[in-house]
Amino acid sequence: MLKDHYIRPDQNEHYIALWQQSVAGDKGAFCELVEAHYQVLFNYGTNFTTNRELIKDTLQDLFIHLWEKRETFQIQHLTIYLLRSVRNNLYLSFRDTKTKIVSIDATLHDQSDDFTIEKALIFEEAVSEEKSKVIEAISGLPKRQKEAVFLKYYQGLDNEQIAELMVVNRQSVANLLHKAILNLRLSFDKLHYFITTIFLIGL
Amino acid sequence: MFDYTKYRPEDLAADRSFRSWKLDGDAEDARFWTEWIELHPHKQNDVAKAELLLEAVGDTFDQITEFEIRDELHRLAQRLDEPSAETNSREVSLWPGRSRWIWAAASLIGVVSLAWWLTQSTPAGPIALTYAELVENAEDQLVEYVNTDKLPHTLALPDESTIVLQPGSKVSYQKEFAGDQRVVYLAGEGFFDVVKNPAKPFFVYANTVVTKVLGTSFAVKASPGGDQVQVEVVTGRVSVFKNNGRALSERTKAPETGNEIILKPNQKLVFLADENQFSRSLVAQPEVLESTPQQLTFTFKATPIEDVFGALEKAYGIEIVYDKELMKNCYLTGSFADEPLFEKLDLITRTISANYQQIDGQIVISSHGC
Repeated sequence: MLKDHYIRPDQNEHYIALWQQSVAGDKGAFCELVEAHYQVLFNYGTNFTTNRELIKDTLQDLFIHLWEKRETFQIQHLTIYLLRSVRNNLYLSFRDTKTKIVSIDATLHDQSDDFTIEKALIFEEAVSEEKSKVIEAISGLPKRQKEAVFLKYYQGLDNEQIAELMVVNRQSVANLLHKAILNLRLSFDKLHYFITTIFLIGL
Repeated sequence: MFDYTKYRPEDLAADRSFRSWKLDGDAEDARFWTEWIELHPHKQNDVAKAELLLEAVGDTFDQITEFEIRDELHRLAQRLDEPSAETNSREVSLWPGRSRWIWAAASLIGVVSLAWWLTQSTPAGPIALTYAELVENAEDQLVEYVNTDKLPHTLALPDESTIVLQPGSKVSYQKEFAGDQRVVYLAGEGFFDVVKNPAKPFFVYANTVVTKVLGTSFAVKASPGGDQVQVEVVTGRVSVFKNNGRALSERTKAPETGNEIILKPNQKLVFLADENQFSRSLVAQPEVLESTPQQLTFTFKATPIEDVFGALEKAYGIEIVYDKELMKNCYLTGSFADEPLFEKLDLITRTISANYQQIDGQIVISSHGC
């Protein structure tokens, strides 16, 4: 459930404060930062590779590096900084190992996406038919559309921030999201919802 | 205010206020949106779609379990603690306990030491201060009382706080508690019942250990050679820190953050000068807190384990650390009366095939779920 680890955009001030404590040598503050971001960063990593161990190792190395070189980093927006580092480091590791070459412009989704859908369906029996259709549609999106959807709706970033992360201009982000929504709409416009469920406010 | 009537479902799902309502449960946003939906009933369908989109996004991208995350955090904690070329002199042996996963991690490796804040404040090694040195260096005029009797003696202090002083023990204190703090030096063993006065904190100096309280009762035991000090809390909270030998006026200021250990009722702290280390544990016989309503029988009937632990936590003022998710299907039926805490824990954990350990003053439950 997204709710559990949703990082509010206005928490940056708090994270920056923790980062400053970390720079001063406070490991507790550092681990609080890591803990708050781990899940989001791992999930972001799954946009680029299905190799879970690679994502885990990349995150380990990233945090160790951040801690050891903490005095040399100037960070404005912590969550975005971390997201960008995960993205860059994963791409770097693809280049280094050459075990799996993923082009930035790959538009075809790989086999693993189907695995994800299956998993989602098996493990979440309670999931409504409507929801599984949307999940299926998101999982089936081309890679870059999917990444944009992650950053926009999972992470709550604005188009400008997404553009910066994905190294494209704002218009491209708008286009990616527009295409993604057109794809998703096919699934969620078929939706017939009972009025009552609307008042089951997800608090 | 934005004109939300023009928003499509995907715009709502990206809107900050909408997200804060749906994902964060923000009360103000919830009020706003509930009202808004009432005013625009034809938008209900769009709201439902936005909600569905957010849920589906969450489900699609959730690719890692809590358990895996904890493993990874534990792995990181270990790597961070390894000495490396860049390690600076303040490098620590354990992260301070800011959040639960660290304790969970600590329980896995089975090593808990609170050496962290000590090594941080005293890189030069142990300084064993003795009662004589402390009294000699005190700036204020002190009066001394020595219990030469064979029985414990109750001593009234100027502020009406009391000390039950064990035979052979002695205390020194400022005659009228004139300054902005109440300071007592102790050699031996004393049980303190301190009158509340937030404006004048109460300090007990026992060898190298300083205990600070606002109003509470607790016992301090200091061996004459200065090599061991023990603090046990009965009611209230005390903070304990290490006396690093600076001038009194300086060292009794609020200790630097992170350099103190807070003790809660039923917790005990032992300082060993040789090892320059504190260890925190529960007292031998944890007592039900006085402030709890006299509900001394605990009766559970198919009660979720979360509630069982909650009742014990509240009654004994202790912390029980366990994996809520993993143990969500554990239920307990049974009743307890005045068995000691550890006996209760033993019975409970045996019933649900779990184990418990006492780590750093907390109870850590390990279980494979039910």
